[in-house]
Amino acid sequence: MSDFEQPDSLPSPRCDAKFGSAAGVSATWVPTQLNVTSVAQSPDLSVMNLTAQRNPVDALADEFATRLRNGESPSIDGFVQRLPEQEAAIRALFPSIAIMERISENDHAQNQVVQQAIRLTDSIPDVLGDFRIVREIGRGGMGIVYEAVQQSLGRSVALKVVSPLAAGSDNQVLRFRREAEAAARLHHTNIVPVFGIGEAHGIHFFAMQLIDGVPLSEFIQSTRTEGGGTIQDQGRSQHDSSRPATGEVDDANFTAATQVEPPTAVQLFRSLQQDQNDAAAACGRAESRIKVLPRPTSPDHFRKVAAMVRDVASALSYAHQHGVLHRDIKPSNLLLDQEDCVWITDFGLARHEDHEDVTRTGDLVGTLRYMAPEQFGGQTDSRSDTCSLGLTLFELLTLTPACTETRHGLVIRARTESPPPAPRSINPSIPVDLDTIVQKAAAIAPGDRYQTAVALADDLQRFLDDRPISARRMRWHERLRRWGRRNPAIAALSTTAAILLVAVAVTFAVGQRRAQTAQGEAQRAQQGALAALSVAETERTRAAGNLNLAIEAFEQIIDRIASRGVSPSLAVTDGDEEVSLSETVLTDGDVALLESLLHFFDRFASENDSGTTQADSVAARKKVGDIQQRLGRFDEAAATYLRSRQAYAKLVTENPDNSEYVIAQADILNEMGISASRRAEIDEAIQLHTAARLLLENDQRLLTTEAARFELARTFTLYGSIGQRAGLWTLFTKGRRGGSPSSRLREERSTFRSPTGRHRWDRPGHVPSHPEIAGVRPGPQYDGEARRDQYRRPETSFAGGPNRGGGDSRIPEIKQSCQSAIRLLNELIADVPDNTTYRLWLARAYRAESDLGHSSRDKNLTTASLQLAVTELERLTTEHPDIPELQYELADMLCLPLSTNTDPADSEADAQSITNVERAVDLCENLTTAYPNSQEYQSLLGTALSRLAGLRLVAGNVESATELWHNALYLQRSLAERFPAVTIYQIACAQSLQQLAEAEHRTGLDSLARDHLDEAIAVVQQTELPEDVARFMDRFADRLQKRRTDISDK
Amino acid sequence: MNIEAERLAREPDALGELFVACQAQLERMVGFRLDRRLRGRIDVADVLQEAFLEISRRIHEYVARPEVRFYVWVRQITYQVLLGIHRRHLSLKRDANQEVKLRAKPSWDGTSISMVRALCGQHTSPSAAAVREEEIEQLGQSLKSMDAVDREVLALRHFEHLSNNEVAESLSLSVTATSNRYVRAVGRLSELMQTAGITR
Repeated sequence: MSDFEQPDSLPSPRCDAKFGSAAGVSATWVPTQLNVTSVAQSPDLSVMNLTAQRNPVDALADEFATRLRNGESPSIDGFVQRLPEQEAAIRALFPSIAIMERISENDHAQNQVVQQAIRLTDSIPDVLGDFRIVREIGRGGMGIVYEAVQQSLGRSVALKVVSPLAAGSDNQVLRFRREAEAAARLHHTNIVPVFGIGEAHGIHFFAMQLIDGVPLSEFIQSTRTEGGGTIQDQGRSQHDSSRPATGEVDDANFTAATQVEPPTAVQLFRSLQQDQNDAAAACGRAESRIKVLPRPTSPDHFRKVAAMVRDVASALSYAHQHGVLHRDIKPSNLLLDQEDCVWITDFGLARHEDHEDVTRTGDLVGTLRYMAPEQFGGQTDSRSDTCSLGLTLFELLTLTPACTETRHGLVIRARTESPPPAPRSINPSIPVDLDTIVQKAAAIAPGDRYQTAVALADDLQRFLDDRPISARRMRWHERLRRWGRRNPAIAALSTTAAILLVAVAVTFAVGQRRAQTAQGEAQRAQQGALAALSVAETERTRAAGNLNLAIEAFEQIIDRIASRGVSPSLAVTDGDEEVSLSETVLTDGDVALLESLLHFFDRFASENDSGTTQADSVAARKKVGDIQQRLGRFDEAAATYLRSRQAYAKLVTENPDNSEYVIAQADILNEMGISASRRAEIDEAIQLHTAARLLLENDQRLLTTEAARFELARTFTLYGSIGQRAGLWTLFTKGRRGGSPSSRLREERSTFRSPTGRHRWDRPGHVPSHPEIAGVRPGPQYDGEARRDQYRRPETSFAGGPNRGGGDSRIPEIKQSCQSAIRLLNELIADVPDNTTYRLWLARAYRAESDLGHSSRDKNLTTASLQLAVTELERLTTEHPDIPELQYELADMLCLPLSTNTDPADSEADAQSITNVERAVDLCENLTTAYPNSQEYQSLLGTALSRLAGLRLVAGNVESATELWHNALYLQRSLAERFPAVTIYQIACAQSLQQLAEAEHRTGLDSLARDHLDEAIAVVQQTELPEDVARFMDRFADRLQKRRTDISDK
Repeated sequence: MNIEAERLAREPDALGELFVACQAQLERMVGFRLDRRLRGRIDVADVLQEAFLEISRRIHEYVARPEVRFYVWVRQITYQVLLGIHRRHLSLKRDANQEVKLRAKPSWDGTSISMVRALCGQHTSPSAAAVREEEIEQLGQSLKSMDAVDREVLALRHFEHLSNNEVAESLSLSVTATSNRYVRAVGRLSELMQTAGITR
């Protein structure tokens, strides 16, 4: 076609006066009545045939939608009658279709109104009543602001015109007039005066004083950009801040910053001139637009800002006294004129407190970033304005918004959950008093703020006068208390612990000093010294008591945090320890608190290696190790454990009769063993648990105590489940037969371990300790049909197995260990029937035994033990329905496979597996409903769904499997997106995508399979990982990539 | 086979007429897909004008190889033009964040935003709006987490009024797959809306 060169000859879709660039077909912007859909469809003779291939529900849905579009109200019952066998689907889907159609129509109608408005805006006449329009200076949701001349008085005004879009809406007009009324009643030196309200040509407008200045948002940008250079006033500032009140975050603040040009030489010269010649500052308004700003870190800047905000606060106070709330205080609604006078403008969202709210549909009041937390809940009072002004002051001081989030939900979360950071944390040169004032003004709870705007103004004045301000700096415990109010669940405990720790710290310090002094005195006068020492001892005892309390509270915190999220790893395999990635999803606040507690503990532990509180400090040190482990600092944890283990060993030597120390020592060994097995250091784990066992068993006297017996039972259970934690069932699955497991291990280590000994994943087939990672199997590659084993338990384990021909299988040892654990726990439970912990561990022991069944190909053992584990947990959950962790653990166990990949097809086991996993899904659904914010529960649900999908696929139900994977992905994608740092979520998501892709590939949906593999690859590659895990992930990505290539080739 | 292509081969001037027949539906599409930030700034007529120029420029391609229905082709070009306009007006290229996102995600990301906007743009009061913000956020996340193709199928069917066959052609899917996908997608959306509290 050569039409391109001759655009004038083109037939045009339309020609109207404004845009008519082409001749030809005439068309107007009245939407054409042609039914385009039918035009497009009718020529297609194959429609009839194709219809036969369509989902019958779809065909009806089509008709349903078409009739809705034609204005009918078709009854769903009618459709049900026509396709009774699809009744459930029709009833489930059609209401949603109706909603979509309705929304689509509304959306379309709204778009058309907006479009009309665009065209009408262009047609606003040059003269509105007495006002001649000069130019547009800004526009927003409510309307457009023009610079205009009031002809009768010959003065320049700012004219705010209600968008013609809103002309049809009575509400909008009402609100507009009210805004004008409200503002017109206010006469204050810092509030832009409103001259009057008018209407002409059906267009509503009001006139106000034209302020020659810049909004503070621009002032902030300029100051930030130029670092105290000049500000270029583009003179187009007034009211252009009235951005669409749609809840859109005002990101113009960021983008516009880059548009400010660096000052030219002339401007600099002028500004210099102006600077030197203040008296001659009357050098014309045009010139005076170049202003010199103090450096943003200079005291001048802070004083200037404080004075501005003081004036705004006074003006607000005045408005509040007149019953007018501004409701949208933010930098862009505050204008700074040439005389450095600040003006509040745009009472556009203000409402009389005695009126019903008529804020229009679709508007989200205010700019989220500056809204007071309570405004999100629809509550607004004068203190909300103060809060917004506090946030504005924050930004003026720091040149950064207090909340830098850009997504609505996150802004809201940030604004409602945490106070803004301390301004001084961003710029330490900010005066302490201003920092204090900001924090008080912008406090989360209205009751914590200045109760009136004038109180804020007064405090700022005090700052300017160098007098002491009234706001008190928040003490650390005050912060803790407020934090606690927002996080009641764990805060109570944390606060207790923190306070106790501080108390302990002080008492210790005092006691220590007294003791030292006392010792010094002792050399001179023994008598006095003895007395002093006894005082010191008393102090110490008290401190020790406090420390115990602190440790106790601390343990509770840890338990609470751990129970808030049991690791998603448990989903597939690891039901027995909750130490894992769950801590990485702690909130920042939790982590900060834990770290500060950890700091305290660490200090105690190291300062008190001797003395009467030695045992307590060793216990504290062990807790430090626990926290480090929970925070994922495994190396630090290992070091800490080692030190406390040595300390305990010393204690045991010194106090051979104290059974507690022995048990504590065994406990540490077990923790170290858990850590080792998670790092897949099998030999080490075996040694550690064995050491723990010997320690406990060697002292028969010890085993008369309940605590020791339980610790021994725990030791046996842990020993029996090393492989489970290590995720080892992939270790020997591929082509590494023969030889004993341990000898293979040794061989692999010597072969593959890097000199640093850190790159464990160099070993082929070896996986990170995370069980879910273990679930990602290196092979086998698909051969075009689903392999049963993909969805069953891969072969395990460090125990080896009879088929391996290994001579030194650990199976008997492990078996014995499990049995001992079970026997001990049963005995304990017989003594103390109500102990939930014992019973939970019994279930775990059964589970370990069930795992053993897999290794030893003893299917009966697998099934029977798992059944016992499940039964025990069933009972526990029935008795304690209020402990979600138990349900979690149960669901987790129900997800376990009943057969291994090498078992022959076993329909019975498959059926049982499906029943179990379905129940797991059920439990998880309940948990996620009850605890919608627990990502761990969501994660387990995702895993359960994914597993169920796998089982369904094996059962031949591809449709259902696909659907389930979609559902699983719905959760997993969201988790992966929300928690990019949690590797396990990325992996779970990628795995489901991979499996889904395989299912799609099998059913010939290669394009979808490719898409999903691409997505999986993207997920895996985006994941940021520690080096060792990264290698594993790289291999995972490679496999995905290879698979992707395979499918492309076909 | 293809009436429009045949007619255009005979009388190239018929393009205008054919385009006018698509116009209402295209307006609907552009209105739906137009970035919210540009709403009220961009005249849909200008978008269609630009699209029409592009279509005129490339109509020979279509006449030579009419692989899809005329509307599907016209829509695709208009959509590309719209994306270009988004890029120009929103300076997407300058924004590093945006760019990374655009690369990493499937190209249909905008659909969920458009759909959330449409699904949730029905607030009654500011407090209700604020309260619902969380739900909207949640639904937005849910929609994002929906299979991109599923989401697109829904958007095309209900927000652009495409027929199943047109959807199938637009997404290069089979008619049966599209149909099944549609039913499944409505099902999932029903669940999502329930979860988000849009429906009970």
